[in-house]
Amino acid sequence: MAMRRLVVVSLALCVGAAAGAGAQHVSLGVQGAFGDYREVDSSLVYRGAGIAGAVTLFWHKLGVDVEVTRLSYDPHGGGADSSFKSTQVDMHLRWYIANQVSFETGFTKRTMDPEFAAQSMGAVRIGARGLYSIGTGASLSLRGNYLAGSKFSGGGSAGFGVELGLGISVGRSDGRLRATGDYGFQRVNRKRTGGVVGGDVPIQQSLARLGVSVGL
Amino acid sequence: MRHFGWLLVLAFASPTAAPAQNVQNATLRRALAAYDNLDIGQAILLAKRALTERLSGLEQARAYELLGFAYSASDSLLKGVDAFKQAILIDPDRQLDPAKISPKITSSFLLALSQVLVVRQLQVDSASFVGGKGFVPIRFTVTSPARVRTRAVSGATSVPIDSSVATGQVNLRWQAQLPNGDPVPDGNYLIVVEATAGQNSFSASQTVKVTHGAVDTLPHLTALPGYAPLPEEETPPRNWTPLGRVFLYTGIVGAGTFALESSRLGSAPRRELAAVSVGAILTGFIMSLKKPAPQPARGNILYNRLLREQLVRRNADIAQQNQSLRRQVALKVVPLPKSGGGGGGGGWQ
Repeated sequence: MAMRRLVVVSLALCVGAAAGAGAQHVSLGVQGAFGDYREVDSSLVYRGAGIAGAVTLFWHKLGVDVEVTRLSYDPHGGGADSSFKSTQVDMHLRWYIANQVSFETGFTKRTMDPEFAAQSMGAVRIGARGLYSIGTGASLSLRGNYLAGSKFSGGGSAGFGVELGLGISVGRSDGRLRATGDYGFQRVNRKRTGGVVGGDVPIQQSLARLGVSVGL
Repeated sequence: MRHFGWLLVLAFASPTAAPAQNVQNATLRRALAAYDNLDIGQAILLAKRALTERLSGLEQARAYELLGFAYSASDSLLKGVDAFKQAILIDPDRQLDPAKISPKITSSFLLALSQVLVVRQLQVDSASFVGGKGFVPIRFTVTSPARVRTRAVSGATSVPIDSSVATGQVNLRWQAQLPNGDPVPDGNYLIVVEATAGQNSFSASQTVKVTHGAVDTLPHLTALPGYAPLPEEETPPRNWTPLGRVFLYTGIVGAGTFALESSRLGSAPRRELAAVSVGAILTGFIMSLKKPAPQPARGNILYNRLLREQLVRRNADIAQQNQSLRRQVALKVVPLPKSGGGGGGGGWQ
């Protein structure tokens, strides 16, 4: 329920801001997504596919992305025996610094359904993104974030969390219609608490989103 | 020997002055024929008789000239000079061709010319110029030293052109200006040359037409001659930078993913990374093959801006020049054909 509220509020904020902003500064995207999720050890491997939506807004040096990805994960070999659905909300808030590089912050929140089929988690991201033009209407983005303040549905925290991203966008030079591809890799080392033995529990997700976006 | 001299003189002087067909008076025609037949005595007699008859100005000049030729040929030098004087006074522009006339007759004619005061061969050239910035050339010859006054007369307006003591060829420049510096009003002007020496005086005139016109203004420039604007965008040469950049960033992310993967979780298939990387590499490859988009050429933009500023400055100068040109008057001076023969009255020196 809280997750839905977060998604709705984020989207409402972006669409509201988009309505007030200049037409060329807003784009909406829809994508097909597929991913690989691993937890604890090599026996818990899931693969899944689903859909994703994104709203992008930029105004002068400020940029905001909100992405919602819903995937159905199924066990892929090993000891995993139950499927689950994952809903991930990512918000990236950027401030352009110089030489195509922007400071980036935001959050990522992933919830699982059923709730304890895998670890739901949330974290704040802090990092940077570079966006480089590789030709007329084509751009390549590279981002790296530290995931701080991670929270997990099963408790515990993570001292180490990293996210890497690669994005490609190509289309009309006016940005009206573009094909987009986005890769995200998250790795978090969850530390269990409450006297449970076993130490760190690594969580790793690779996610690819391929689709189109329309500039407004 | 004396007859041989006559023959020599007449041989040189054969076509006396002009064909006899133009002569209306029969006596004068007979006199010219007698001269042509070397009957000098008869020619003198008939010429004198013709002068007692009714003759036009030109015929009178012709009769006196024939007498001058005949007297000079018959060694009556003084009478010859006197006859030439009369001819010159009647028709001051009368001229002998030294190549066709014998030196004896020519010298008599020149002696007569030096003993009379006339203004000969008054000539005004056509001219077009901006008022105050040009002139009309005026030429004439004064046969003996005299005070020569030249002026332009039109109705009540009399504009002095020059006043000086002169003899021989005189060249004047008339700026067609009133004494206050304004251009003379348009209309017909009589250029009058008056020569005075003691009691003797002579005047000659030539009518000219002065017309006013607008001075041509300068056209505004659309481009500076010799300086063409440069293209403000230049297409950079095709290169493989996009593909190189894609490889670099894909490599960074791939290496990062590889380094960050947990060994405990087993080796990931990396199909997500591969899918996006293949798309990125394909895009980079296409972008490397595509003609790059034109880029603004900063140097050319600055050059064009300078050019435009120069053009604006030049056109401002032209506008200023045109403003002063519009206040000026273009004068066109054309001499009109003479209606009659020679100039005004004269006297012996």
